[in-house]
Amino acid sequence: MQMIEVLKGILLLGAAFGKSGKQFALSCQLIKTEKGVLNRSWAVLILFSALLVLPLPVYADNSNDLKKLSLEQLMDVEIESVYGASKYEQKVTEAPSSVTIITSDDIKKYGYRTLADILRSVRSFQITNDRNYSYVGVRGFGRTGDYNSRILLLVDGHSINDNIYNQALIGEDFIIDIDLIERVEVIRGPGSSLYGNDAFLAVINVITKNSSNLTGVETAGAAGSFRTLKGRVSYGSSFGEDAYGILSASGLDSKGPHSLFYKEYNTPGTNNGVTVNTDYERNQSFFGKVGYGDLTIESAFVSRMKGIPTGSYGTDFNDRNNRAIDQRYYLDLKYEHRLDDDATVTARLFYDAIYYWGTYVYSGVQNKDYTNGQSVGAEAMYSRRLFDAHKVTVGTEYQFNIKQLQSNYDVSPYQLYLRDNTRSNRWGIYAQDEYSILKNLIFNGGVRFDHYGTFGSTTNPRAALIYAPVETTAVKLIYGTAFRAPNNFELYYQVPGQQAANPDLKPETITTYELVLEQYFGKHLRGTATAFDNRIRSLIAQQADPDTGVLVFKNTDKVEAKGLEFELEWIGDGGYRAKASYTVQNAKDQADHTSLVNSPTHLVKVNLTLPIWSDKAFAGIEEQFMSSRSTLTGAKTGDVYITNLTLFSQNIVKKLEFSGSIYNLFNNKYGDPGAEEHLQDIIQQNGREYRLKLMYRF
Amino acid sequence: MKGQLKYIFTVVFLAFLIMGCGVISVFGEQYKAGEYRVKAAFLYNFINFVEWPPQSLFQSSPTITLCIVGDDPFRDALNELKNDTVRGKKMTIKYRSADDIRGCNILFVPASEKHNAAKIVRSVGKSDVLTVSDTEETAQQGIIINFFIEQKKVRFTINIDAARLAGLKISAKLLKLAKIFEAAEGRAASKEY
Repeated sequence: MQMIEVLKGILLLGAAFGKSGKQFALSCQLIKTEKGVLNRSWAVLILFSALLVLPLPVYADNSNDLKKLSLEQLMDVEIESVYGASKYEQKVTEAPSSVTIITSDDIKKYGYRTLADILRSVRSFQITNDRNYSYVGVRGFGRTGDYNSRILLLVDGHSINDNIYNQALIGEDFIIDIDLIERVEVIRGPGSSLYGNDAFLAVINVITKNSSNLTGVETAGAAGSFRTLKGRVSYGSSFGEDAYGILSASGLDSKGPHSLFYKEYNTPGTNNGVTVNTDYERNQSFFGKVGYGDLTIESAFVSRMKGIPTGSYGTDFNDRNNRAIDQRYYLDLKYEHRLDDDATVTARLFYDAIYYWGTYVYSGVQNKDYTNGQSVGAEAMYSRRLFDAHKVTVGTEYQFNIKQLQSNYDVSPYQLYLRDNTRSNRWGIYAQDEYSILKNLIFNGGVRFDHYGTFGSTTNPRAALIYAPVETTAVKLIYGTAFRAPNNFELYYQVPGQQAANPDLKPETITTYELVLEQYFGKHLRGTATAFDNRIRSLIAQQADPDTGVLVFKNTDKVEAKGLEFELEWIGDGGYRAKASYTVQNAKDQADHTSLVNSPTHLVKVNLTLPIWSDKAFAGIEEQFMSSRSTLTGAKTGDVYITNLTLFSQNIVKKLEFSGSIYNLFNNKYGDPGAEEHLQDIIQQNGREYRLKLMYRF
Repeated sequence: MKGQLKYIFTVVFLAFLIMGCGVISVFGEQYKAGEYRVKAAFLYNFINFVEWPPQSLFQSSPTITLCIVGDDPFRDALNELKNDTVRGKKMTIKYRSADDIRGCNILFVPASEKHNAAKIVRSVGKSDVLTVSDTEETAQQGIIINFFIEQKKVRFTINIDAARLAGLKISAKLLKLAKIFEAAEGRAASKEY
């Protein structure tokens, strides 16, 4: 039965592809690319190749005997149209932090394209973009020139901050395709007491789908503004009761805006400020996960090429060869075993790799940064309930950096400026106790000791008191510290005459005080109010030597960021959801008492999901407001209002999901502050953008 | 702009094609069933993944008694379970009221009893009775397993504390599939993924 359907489909598509194939051949231009990157016809070919996959075993349709199904199979059975079922509500949380959760359902209904889009909707988070990378700011701290090393980004518990820049990539350079995300947990506050490095401002854990929510063959295709095409094929299956596997491949090709104008380059020598076809982006990513009982093996790869149109670092303006290629890879083996109701043991082995090529064109000569990092590591954790009231967790982690290579050279005529290859290691040991002093009073205390081959050791505690005077209210008092180790780039990157190394750098530290109030009003409404105070010391900043102009990283700055956050969330029956948050914050440099660059005083985020047609069609509306921010020259960016609208539908045609999104609906003009490497003080962002997306499950 | 139109058209063309395939493949339909038939099948399965204490009456008795207290939402869905043999014991179904719930191994508390849930949990919470419900209000009262619907599929949470109180041991396998009732939110905040 199945085979006939698939074959018919293939024949139909073959005919259609024949017709449209010609069109594609015309519109696809083969561009000479750096190794390992796709041209755009591949993105669509991936979409088509899905149809050649053989049909999957579906349990026999004449089986009326549900009892014969295993637990996993039962969990996959769809029940006949349930209208008005509300999502499971999460009651007062006992987590020692302020947490926000975004689900795969939100991702579909709000049309999120990347993790950056997701984070734009999160209370007290801000995203800025310089047409190279997307950067996260949390609670007023998000200076230009930082590479997201102050947030720890995890995928299923595996850190993806690399071992050279410790950078968390959150755009199309993120290692996981957005459709593979089951849930994103954003945990505000310092997390070093459990996670160590990079858990400075927040910990973000991205949880990927498993076979209960990705079964069979799934294909997705999207087309959007600036000649963007994206395709994905995924396959998920369970094998017997204990095992499952997921495999996925994605590709993206975006030409970017045809031309961009920068007034800072408005001279005849630099094409009168117009740069053409230089904001392109291409990626390919792969993901695989196999679960067998307590064992999970997961691996992912991403390669992204981004054209850099801004002329940053004084490169030749309007030269398409200015680009960055980022590749990341990881392999993670995890063993998680519940010993009995009271104890669990987890062990992990992991391998990570980063490859980076940066091409900078100076007077026609290509200068390249080539970076390669590789590391292996292991972690073991044991958690158990003691004396009924205590839940104790202890763990240890070790990482060995096999290779940390940074190099810089001119391509032709060849000249080498830097070749630095180091090895280093780090290890950490941590413990946490969740002590239920009373049924409604919990004390959560933890501490972690880390030792780094580069700078020595650091100890970071966290203590939280969580009190629920009544079942619907929770008050949390949280204190914690965190650190960010100087990364390989800050320590060792040097190019004579331009940048000097500083192997004596010390880690940055942050001390956070936080008060959180959570209140549930009835069955549908939840409110949160937070007050926070972040004190940051020894911030590593790039300074120019006054005589030579040579840049060097130093532990110099001191920042204090304080603020208040308010959020209301309403979950109704039938798929209605509303969330609104307001943050007022102030982040000041302690040396001169000026507000930080790129720190908005006010942030407002509103999200609305409205069912349009039972459970088949929804509208997702987002409103985001960011008050004016200072730039490096002291100018102001002006207030920013962004409205996004997505119409999402599912099962109008069986197994098909279809969505149309308009981002920046009112085409508001706005820009983000540039960094030291930009001539531009403010970098203009895109106006209105569109996206059409289809997903089909076989 | 022309280039953009060209391939937006192509994508829409593709969309219609894929939809055409979708219409054809009606046969590979996802298996569907009534909500309570699925829940009944889950109840049948749960028995295999719960350990009753060694000294309990459950171990020596030749029957497993499933009680429904209050308004029965299952109706015919339980017919498949009646008189089945699980773990060497015969399944019997009994219908009870909130005042008289003795002699049950598994107790299902439906929506009609949500106001009595606290009372029910008080009477059997410490005995080795596996309590199951499918309403959030009852889950808060200390019921061990609670069904909920997510994306049209049946899911369940397990309240480990309630299970411990009842003296029941839930198999790790079942725990893995369930949403654990405690700290469902922000697990990564305590390094529980």
